[in-house]
Amino acid sequence: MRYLLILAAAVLLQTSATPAGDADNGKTLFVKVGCYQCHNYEGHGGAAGARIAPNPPPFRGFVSYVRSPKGDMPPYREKTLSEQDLADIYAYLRSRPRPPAAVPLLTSDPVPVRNPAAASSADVSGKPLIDNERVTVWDVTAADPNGPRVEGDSVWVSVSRPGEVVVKSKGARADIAALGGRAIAIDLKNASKPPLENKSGYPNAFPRPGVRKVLENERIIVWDYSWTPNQPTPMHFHDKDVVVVYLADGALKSTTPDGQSTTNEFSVGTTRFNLRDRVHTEVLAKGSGRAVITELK
Amino acid sequence: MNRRGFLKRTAAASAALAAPAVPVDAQSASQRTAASTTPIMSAVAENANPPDADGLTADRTGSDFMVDVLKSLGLDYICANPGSSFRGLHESVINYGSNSQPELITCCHEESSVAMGHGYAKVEGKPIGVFAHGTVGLQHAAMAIYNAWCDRVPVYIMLGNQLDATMRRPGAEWAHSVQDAAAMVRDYTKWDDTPMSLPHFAESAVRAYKIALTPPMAPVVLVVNSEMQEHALAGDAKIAIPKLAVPSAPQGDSGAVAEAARLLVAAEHPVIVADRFARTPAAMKHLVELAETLQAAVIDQGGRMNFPTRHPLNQSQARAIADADVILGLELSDFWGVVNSYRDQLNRTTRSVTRPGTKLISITSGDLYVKSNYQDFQRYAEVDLAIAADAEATLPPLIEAVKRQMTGDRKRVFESRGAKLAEAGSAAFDRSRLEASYAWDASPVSTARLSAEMWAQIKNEDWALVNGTGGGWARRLWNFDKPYQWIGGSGGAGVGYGAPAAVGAALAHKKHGRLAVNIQNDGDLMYAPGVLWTAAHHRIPLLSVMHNNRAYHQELMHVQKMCNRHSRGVDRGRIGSELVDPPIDYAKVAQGLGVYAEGPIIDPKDLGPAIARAVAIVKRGEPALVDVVCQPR
Repeated sequence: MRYLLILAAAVLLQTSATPAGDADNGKTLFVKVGCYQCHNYEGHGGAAGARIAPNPPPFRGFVSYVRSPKGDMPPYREKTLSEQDLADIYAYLRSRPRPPAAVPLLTSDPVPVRNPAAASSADVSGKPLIDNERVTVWDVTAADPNGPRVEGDSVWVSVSRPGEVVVKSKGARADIAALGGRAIAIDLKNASKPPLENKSGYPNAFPRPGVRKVLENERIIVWDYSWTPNQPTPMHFHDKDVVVVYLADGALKSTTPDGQSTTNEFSVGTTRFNLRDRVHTEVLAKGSGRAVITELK
Repeated sequence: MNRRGFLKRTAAASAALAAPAVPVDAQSASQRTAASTTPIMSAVAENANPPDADGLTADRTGSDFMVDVLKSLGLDYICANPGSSFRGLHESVINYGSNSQPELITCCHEESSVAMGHGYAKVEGKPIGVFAHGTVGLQHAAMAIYNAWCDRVPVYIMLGNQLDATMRRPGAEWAHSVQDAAAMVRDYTKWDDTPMSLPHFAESAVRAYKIALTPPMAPVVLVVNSEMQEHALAGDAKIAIPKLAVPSAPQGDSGAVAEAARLLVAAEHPVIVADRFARTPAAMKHLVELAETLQAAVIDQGGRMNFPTRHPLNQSQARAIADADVILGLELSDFWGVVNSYRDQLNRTTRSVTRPGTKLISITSGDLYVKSNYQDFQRYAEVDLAIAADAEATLPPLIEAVKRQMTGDRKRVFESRGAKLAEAGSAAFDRSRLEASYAWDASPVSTARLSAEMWAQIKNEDWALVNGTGGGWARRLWNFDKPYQWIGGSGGAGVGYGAPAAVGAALAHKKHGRLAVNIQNDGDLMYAPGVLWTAAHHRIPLLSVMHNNRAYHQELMHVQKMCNRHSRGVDRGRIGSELVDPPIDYAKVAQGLGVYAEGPIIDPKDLGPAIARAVAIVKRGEPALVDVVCQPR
């Protein structure tokens, strides 16, 4: 109760110390005397000036700073800007709308600040994204003059041009520029594994409704698939190891037959290696979902 | 025998005696003989009997050989506004050289030619050529050359000039001739020469290329005598082209590097500041490795694409300098400005922003080469350890030296520090998103909204920002994590750089299939908007989104400051700096120059769809422009 009283007194003090102002005249003055030049028309600040709306500092401090700024701001004397003018400007600043509660364009961007371990792999050249007994996977751009060091047959999944895939043999490199500038290179190692026998009672992962077979040869089958919001895939069995290259930003919720769920976020270019012998269904949990999936024979 | 025939035979004779290098002496030929027999364009000459056909045509000229030299250097393009003083070279490029490597790019202003080369070199890591008149062309080009000089970027400039007064055509050619063409830009170019023979040209051309690419890199100038370009050459004349070996960039002294590593490993709050650091795509990888090894804060000043914007150690939006006990500066253009603040009031004052005893380590090739007249070297910085070397080349040994000096105890300290920095970086990113949401629906459009709307349309493409930052918002909101996604600014703050540098950079990105993106300031575009036509003509894909605040706003703020200082008319500060009444319709300007364009956009809700339509055009291989009326900053 004591704190409430103090707070109420402080509010009263600030209110009584702030003279009435005409927000409309304040808006005119804000432009006329050049405040907008650094603080922008809405007082929301920018590269040259701080944000001062809709919650400017207490009025006395506000006036004091305008008269005698600490930094680079030009000083405004009484001669050019009266106390009443400042009260009007103050009223204008306080009349500015608060920002929207949520701005999807700002909050839907799913790429988080990464941890150091992740930062050292995918985003700078020189290290593969994945290196195991079956594949070495590289994130390649046309700007990289040296890499990757592809040694065997390889699959090149374009990130820049969704759906485009090129196959190369015996250490040959694809033309990254022709693939739009960025691609995921999957270097196939000589560790062939025949598909597992499906005893799950569910259909194989591929083909499935809506999928496009991009190509197939003796070592791989490449699929292009888009997940539709609110439409889970059929429960399915993976009889082959797969490399998944995501071509959109979103998250997939994966649920096994016993009801256990996990959600995995991805963004454009995210690449994952998934082992065979898995049964699950997937549904889009966030954003949009598209991937090129390479099944390894 | 006329003069051309004489020179031709001299070249052939010399080739036989002294192959392969043949001096083709342009200046020692007998002036008297040449003067008495050179045909003069006059009514008498026109009506006389046809002269010797052999004296009117030539199968091969000096400029053909010059093109051989340019091809040997690997110049992909020549940017030029046409000029008679290099007509020989012009014709040799397009015919003898088949207009391929180099290909001639038609420019509408020499400032555009050089700035295109500036932007191109920062993407591709190598220069392209510029042809210009040694007089009026160079005068136009001068500011752009100064920008490239300040930005340490190689541009390979060739100036046409007619040195021999007795050979000049009456009239314009005299006005377009000069004794010492390069003198005008000698203070802000690294090297120039005026070759007197074709072998001399070959040597100087290769030397100029080598010098331009040796850190610190800078523009170079060759003055190419018009007469030498047009000399007839014997078909069998053989002139050697010297071998090019670009020097490796200088690494820091091993003792100094070890001392730098000792200071960094012992530091509690090391901060790495990078400006014009990244020369090659490998630089970012090195800086990430050094920062992660030390778990040190990194401030990317943005002179190049130095460090991923969303890396947890990126503290560019935080206040890391005040806490630092060791600061490592990598190719800083102004180390003094990093550790001091400056107050621009009637009494100009400064103060240190570091705590007492903070150690400063500098690695810069700027210490290896400096000139006097132009003052772009900034205020003297009192560093504790100055390593005169290329910072990118010095990072691998520095990383090794740091690893050698690290102990288990220090590593645990580093990990704890890294976790705190990651938290601070994440909080700064969240703050940026929150700040961006203020004035979200305002009209004119906020620069944060402009940047966010652009990001939504390009983030799934292989994009590169080639100019502008939308008041800094692009660097705060976008996920820059590829070495080619940013190239820094003008260097010399010479306005007019943005549009042509963007087109030049887009030309470099074209062959990689990347989506080049330009946040174009309105005042900048008005210097030489003809470069939009160049982009349209050469099918250079470039998305330009205008940050159109209808003023030269930086200058407007300076004048406002003077108005306030004198209290005699703060409401008139805009006079002379605004671009209103009438407002410029940039979409119409662009459309008139053959570029797809929309705008002016005033309602922010219209912005996303307009950018999406423009992106579709650019992905077809053409330039597009969206004019957006924006908040000032």
